[in-house]
Amino acid sequence: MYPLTVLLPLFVGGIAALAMGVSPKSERYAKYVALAGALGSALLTVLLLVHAAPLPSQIAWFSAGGYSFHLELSFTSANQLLLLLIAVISPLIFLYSVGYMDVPSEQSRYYFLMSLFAVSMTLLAMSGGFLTFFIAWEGLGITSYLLIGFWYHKEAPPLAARKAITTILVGDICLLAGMLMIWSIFHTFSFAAIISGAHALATIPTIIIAAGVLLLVGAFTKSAQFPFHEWLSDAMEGPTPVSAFLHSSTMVKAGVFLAILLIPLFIELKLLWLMLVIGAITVLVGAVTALASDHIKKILAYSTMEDLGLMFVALGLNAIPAALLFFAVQAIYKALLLMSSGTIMKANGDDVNIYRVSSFGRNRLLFISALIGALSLAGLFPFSGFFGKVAIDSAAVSNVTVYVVLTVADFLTALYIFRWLFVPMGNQRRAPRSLIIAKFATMKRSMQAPQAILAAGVLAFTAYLFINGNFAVNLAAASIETAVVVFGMLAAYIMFKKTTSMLSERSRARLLMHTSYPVNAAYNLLAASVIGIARGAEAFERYLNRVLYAGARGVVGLGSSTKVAENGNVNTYVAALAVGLVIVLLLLILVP
Amino acid sequence: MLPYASGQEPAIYLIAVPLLLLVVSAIAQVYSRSRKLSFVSIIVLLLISGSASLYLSGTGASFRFLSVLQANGFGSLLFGAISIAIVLIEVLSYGNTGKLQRFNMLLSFVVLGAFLVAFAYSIIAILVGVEMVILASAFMILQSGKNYVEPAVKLFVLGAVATAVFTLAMALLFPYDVNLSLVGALAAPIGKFIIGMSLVLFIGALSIESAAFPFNFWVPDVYEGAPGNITALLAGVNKKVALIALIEITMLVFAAYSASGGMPLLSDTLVILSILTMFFGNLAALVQRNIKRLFAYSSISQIGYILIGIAVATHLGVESSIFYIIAHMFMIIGAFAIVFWLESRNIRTMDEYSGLYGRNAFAAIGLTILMLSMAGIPPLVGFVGKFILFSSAVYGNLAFLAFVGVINSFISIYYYAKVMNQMFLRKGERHISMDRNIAVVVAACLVFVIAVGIFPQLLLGAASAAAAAL
Repeated sequence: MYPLTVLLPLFVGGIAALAMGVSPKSERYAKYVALAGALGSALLTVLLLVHAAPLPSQIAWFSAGGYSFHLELSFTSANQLLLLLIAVISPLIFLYSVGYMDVPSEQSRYYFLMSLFAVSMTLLAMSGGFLTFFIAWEGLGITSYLLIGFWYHKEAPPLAARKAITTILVGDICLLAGMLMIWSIFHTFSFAAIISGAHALATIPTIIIAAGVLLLVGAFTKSAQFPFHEWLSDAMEGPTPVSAFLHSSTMVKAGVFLAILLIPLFIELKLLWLMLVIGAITVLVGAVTALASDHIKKILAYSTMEDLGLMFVALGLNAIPAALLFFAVQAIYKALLLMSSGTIMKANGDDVNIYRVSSFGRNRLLFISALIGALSLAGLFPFSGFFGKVAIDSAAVSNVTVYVVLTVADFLTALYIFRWLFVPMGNQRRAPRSLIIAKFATMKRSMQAPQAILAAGVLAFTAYLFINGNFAVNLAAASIETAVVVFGMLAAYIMFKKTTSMLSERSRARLLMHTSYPVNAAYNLLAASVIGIARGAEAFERYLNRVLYAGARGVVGLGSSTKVAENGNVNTYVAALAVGLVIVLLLLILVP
Repeated sequence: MLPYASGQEPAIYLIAVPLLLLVVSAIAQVYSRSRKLSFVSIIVLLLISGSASLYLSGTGASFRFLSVLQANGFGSLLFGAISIAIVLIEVLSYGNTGKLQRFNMLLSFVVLGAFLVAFAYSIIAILVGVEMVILASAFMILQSGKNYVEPAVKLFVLGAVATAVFTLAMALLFPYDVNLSLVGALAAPIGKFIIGMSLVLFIGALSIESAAFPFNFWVPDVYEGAPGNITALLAGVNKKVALIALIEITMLVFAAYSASGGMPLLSDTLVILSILTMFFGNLAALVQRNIKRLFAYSSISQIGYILIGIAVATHLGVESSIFYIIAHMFMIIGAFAIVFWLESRNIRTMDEYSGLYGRNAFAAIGLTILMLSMAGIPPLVGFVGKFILFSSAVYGNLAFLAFVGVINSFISIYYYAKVMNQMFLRKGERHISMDRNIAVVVAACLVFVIAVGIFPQLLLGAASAAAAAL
């Protein structure tokens, strides 16, 4: 089977959904078309992986100046893993959206963008070379921008979208520059060829090391690593299915995925330390900020950031199997938890403050799925998250600093995720509101089913790891992890369940943490300086005009006597040309 | 480059005869009343000579004719592209209330000028061609109405200065090459300083018309002041004619000079111009509120990208410049077509563009695709163009130039995104309908941008052959 056919159902579904927007009558059915497209693509993906065992392939795209440029596809285990994850998650997200997105007028735009996103993500998962990767990467950036700003009539989403695109653009610059620099040495974009080329080099030229750093910076921006992380929490302004799909389980993994695909190159360039350092900082910042936040989705966004940091730590420790394992595990429980918070928001009339919302009513199904997700995220034995975390912890045993950071983060994780779970439940216990309880009881099936399926997925994954778990686990690390997590859960129980929260008062330190004031201030400073330079360029033009105008009256002699002068600044321009020519002529003397 | 080498000479008559007919009939029709006849005749004749030109470029023939002209893959490809672009401009102008016949006569001079530049064998032909293009477009602006005197005069004066500088450069060259021919010129460069000066003056003169920094100050005013269809002509055709002339002069006339040690001067001058142009255009565009000015600055910055390829001066560099010249021609004509139409509805500033998606979805989506292409987002034509331009810079040992280009293309995304924000992320009120002729132009440009973006080989093969013909 030709691999790219996998994209076809999604693409057709998306275009059809867009086309159905012409009349409100047909727009009602857009969601079903898009869902069918997602299901079709998922089925084809599974068929492709199970049945056909695809081989790496190249599609000739264009050739210029004696070089030909190909779109490479490859199917290494990392590629297959991501493909499979998308195949599992995307139909569930589309199903969840059917229930969640109940605004009738925006259906076709929403499903078009979501399908387009899924197409780009699938292409990214298949990419075996920079050119394919970059095309998919740009697709992710644009669809993410449009989806974050989806509720354009509100105040915050367009601003959040702008912040996201600005940060991500920095990454795009770095990625493009890095890949061109690599091309200048190896004359290929294929990952496999680049890696073997780097192996063959006797000495590594500086340009490749610079390129490696640029590529990593690109990966850090997309995967929301410190100090490029602030866009991710703002991105929660998008609709919840978008957050569950793009900003927790798939798109934000693109950076980690790049690092995984190119890890032999980074080992060769001795750049692992960079991933380790940035990853460890991000883990701490993410965990602490998640504990400080009140926003039901932002807690999870900071947690995602922490998870991605953990993956970079694993890669930095050269523990690739651990990174891949956590990569898969995290996608499932995080999508589940975000769906849960979407359900809570829906029942509470889009309130997002954990100190105001009530959760789950008497709906056992929703509660148990959220609990399974939370336990897995906390990393309690024997849930799937445990295996992921312990694999990373075991790899870190030799590096004390990193190990301490990870253990502290384990504790904080258990604390904040149960804060996320317990505080809304406490609100409900203290002041039960029958209307909200009724809303939970009558929650749409299309929203409940994906959560139940993902919870079952977490359990199935757990069982699979029990049966097939033949990876090196440091027993001491495992027991320490379990003890820390249990301790964290206990602390959470005491702090947030038994008593009312001790973290609720708005102390200055906490405010500093959860608004990420210093990071945002730094961003603003940077943006202001760029705009300042732009204004400066314009002012420079105006100023230059004025100076030249004065000069022109004397020198060129086109002064006020001619009508031309009254019509505008022609004489100024002419004088500018004269000055420009003089400058260019000066080059003659300066350049030998 | 042997005369009468390949037996394709008859094709030249298919280009030249319709062209002459075009000019003659356009002049004659100034006195006729039929708008339609004038419209149809100019389009049919242009399509004939344009497609003959494209055919000629496909055969790879190269020969001299009429002693000051020559045909080769380079000129015929670019003239073919320009004639299609001018067909689009003509369609765009059909709805104009002004006298179309007079407009067409002037337009036919632009075509003739472009033909002379593209097929030039002598520097004189380039001078005459460039001058014809500039003068004719200045008069086109002038005849659009009383309000347009100012931009017309500005363009006229600037064109005159450019001609003066150009002539001076020619005069400096004359003692060393009395033929002033493009091929085999300056076989034995003596008096290096004078020749270098002449090169720099040529670059300066052509930079005035192609609007590279610091010769670009006239552009935003003239573009904003002129009617939208003529702005499209200025940005889409005039600039490109100047760039074609620049490529011919730097690559042909000064070939021997560059080979014997003049390369650093040529390359350094162009690199500096390119960097300044990119940064200036993009940074100034960042703070514009008027969309026409925004595109004026954006088109300045795009010239900077094209200069990268000429500065690199390798086969890949020239090829990618040719590719991008043609790509940008259609991107900017499409964009200015939409701007032109909205201008006639009194919609000019960023704020007035808000909610365009709700008011006319085709215009908003079309403009978005064109802007994404200019910003270099795959899989549109702008991506391929910039990609090979930057690749050529990296391979030509000008990696920092590629890096500057990459940074700039992402600065540009920021202001394009601002326009998109306005169009999509705000609510629109009343629907406005698009004139049919404008929709045709926009659709044609979109088809080009998407089709060549996905199948770049369509144009790249031809561009490669054209670069090889130099």
